[in-house]
Amino acid sequence: MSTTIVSQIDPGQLVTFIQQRLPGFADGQYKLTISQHLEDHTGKPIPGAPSKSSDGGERKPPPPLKQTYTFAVLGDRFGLANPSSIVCTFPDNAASGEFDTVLPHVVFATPTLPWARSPMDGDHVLPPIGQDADGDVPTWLAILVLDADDLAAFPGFSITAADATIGDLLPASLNSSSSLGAKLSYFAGAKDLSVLDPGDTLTTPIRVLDLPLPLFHDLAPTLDDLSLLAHVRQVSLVSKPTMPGISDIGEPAGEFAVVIGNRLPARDKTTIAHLVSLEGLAGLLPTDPPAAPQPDDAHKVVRLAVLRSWAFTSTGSTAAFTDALLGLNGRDPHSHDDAPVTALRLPQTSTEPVVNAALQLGYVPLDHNLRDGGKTVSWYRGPLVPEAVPPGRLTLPVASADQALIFDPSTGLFDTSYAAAWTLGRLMALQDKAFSTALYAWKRGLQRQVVDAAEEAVLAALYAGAQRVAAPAALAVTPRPALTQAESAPLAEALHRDLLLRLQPETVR
Amino acid sequence: MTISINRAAVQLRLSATLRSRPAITQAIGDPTLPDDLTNWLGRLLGLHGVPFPWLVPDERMLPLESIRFFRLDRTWTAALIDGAYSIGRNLSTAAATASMALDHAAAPALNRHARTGAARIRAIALGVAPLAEDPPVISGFLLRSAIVGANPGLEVNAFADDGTARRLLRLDRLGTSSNVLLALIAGDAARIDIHEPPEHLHFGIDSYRFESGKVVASKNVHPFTRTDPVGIDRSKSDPKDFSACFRANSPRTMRMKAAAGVVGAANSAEMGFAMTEGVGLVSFRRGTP
Repeated sequence: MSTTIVSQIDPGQLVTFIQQRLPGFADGQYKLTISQHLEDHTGKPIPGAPSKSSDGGERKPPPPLKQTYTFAVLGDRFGLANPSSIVCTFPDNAASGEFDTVLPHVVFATPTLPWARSPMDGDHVLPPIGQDADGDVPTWLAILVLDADDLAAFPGFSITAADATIGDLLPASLNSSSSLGAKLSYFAGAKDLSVLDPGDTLTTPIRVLDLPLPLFHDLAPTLDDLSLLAHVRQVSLVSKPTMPGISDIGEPAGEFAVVIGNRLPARDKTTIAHLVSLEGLAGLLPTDPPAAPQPDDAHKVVRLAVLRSWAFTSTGSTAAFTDALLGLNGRDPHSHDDAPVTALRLPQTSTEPVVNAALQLGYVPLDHNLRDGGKTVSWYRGPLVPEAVPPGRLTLPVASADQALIFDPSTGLFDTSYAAAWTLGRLMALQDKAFSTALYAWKRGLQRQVVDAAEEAVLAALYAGAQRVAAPAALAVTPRPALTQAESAPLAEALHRDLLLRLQPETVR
Repeated sequence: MTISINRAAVQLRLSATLRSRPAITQAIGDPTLPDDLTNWLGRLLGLHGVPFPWLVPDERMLPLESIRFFRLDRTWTAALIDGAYSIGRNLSTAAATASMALDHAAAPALNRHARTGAARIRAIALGVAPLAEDPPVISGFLLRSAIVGANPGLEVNAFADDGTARRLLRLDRLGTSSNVLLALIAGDAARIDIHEPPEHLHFGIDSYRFESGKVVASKNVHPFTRTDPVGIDRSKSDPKDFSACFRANSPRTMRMKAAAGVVGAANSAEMGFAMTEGVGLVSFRRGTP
């Protein structure tokens, strides 16, 4: 159990903040050992029974059964296998607006991702079972917020991420072609390549960011901060658009993990935010209050794997969600006026009243190539209309699209809307072979029913005088037992008799 | 004994049946439709897969940063469904073909199943009960805005005249990375609320200034209760001074632990709770024409 707070931010909108969602297994490699150990009722181990060997001698008892399995829990490490793991970032990439008092954040579709690895060294990534209710668990992900001022303060490095491979994170002793050099990174004390996850190779492409250690110390969160920079939000999905894998899996509520940056963006600057991995880097993180800088710190560089980078500009003008909505349709967000146009129609008007009326109703004049090669202009209107349409303008089913064409004598133009809809439906059905064959089979089935009914009716008329008899008793037993040849003979005879009785027509043609 | 049935009698009877719609209806009864056909027609009825130019034939109808409200023309969707249903229909100028008669008789059942299919798509995706009755009116809106892309989880609530909630039949971005959102609402919506997704609420403070080497920052924090009922009181707010929550050597980097102390948060959930800004919400009301 972790701490949860329910917030009724708006009526009908319940958000639950959850401290953390720890995965069952942290990402990494595991060894599972199963052994069998027998004891008698006094607790004394029972050795396996000695068996006689073929030459009559005694064999030693077999060793206890033991089986070892190795497996790995794979997860994103130096890059995101699926870009849609990130639902959205705030601010959005390439956004501009008043962002100088907000901390950038990333929303993840997988609620356990921020705790699947750990900034701590060693194997003890997750707290022991039963203790996870206490304290916060630090996340391994952090958002570093950089801008041109940092570049000015530390010339000679780049604030944008660079292309690299996983091999470039390894020291030269493990990968001779590594570009790491003397930089600090994740695998400082690694002895062999087993530090890589299964499936990761030296040539797997990733993005890296090289930061001078003093700058890293200025920006990176402390270990305590990391515990506070990620949480889970549980929200209702009922009012949300369909999001593949999130709101289309048959669950009305979903959980998202949120990782927050720790630095306010600079005003009037383009900010670059990097989502980086701090796995196992607890030793490099700054402390609060800061430790006295070491003399050689200034020459050290940290190489970090970047899982996502995005840029935005913080300007003075507000970029709130509500302003964007209030400013729709060319409206001034701060006025009290209604938006001028909110109906789905062409903005044009015409001097012709008839044409004007059609435009008001949402019609669009489109070029129409006639069947005989002639060209004309016809009206088209989609299914989304500005005003309610009275029913009964078309009688369905129709035998062809032409039958759905409506001629308007007042304008001398065709209304092609329903003909276009009918043709589209037909083409979409034809395009989907599975659907069209299944539909045809269904229709054949109905046809069969009609034919059967006709046959039955003729038979019924023929044998109107015949007497209906009950099915032979032998058939009434359910489940019907399997019959032997001998048993089946009287049954066949009984059936034959009943059938003859039943088919006693008055007239046989 | 031999019994022979005259084929001609059956033929005669069959053509008589096919001439009379009640007779066909009686013969086929109330046919069920296989699930895959129901779902396919339901998706079509919900305009899934209908190319965008068929919905909005001219881009000027839906310019950048705009919202457009509409009613669904049920005759249009009925024609769309009939087009799909016309597969295997013997198309000839003679209106009274056998296949046409059969299609005519089975059309009410097919359309009913299609509506069932359309009503349950979103319900199944969300694991909620589908709408019991077919709505007489379907309304909706198209929203074309950068906020659709920036907020994939933005939320929509629709309400009737009397304030009761209207169900969403469909709420989809048209294309994976598109900025166009299509909503179909069961019934006529008098009010539509669009609000920020709560999972996307950002962390922020109210003011920040860096003057003569010192940070001056503050935020109004809403008090929250940890005991039952847990929750936040948005009506009360408590101005807190965050000036000391920034690093001396990097004045825009927040000392999260110190900030947690200022707002009185014991863990990341409480911290997230106290530091998030409220949900932005905009209501669109149907005007009086």
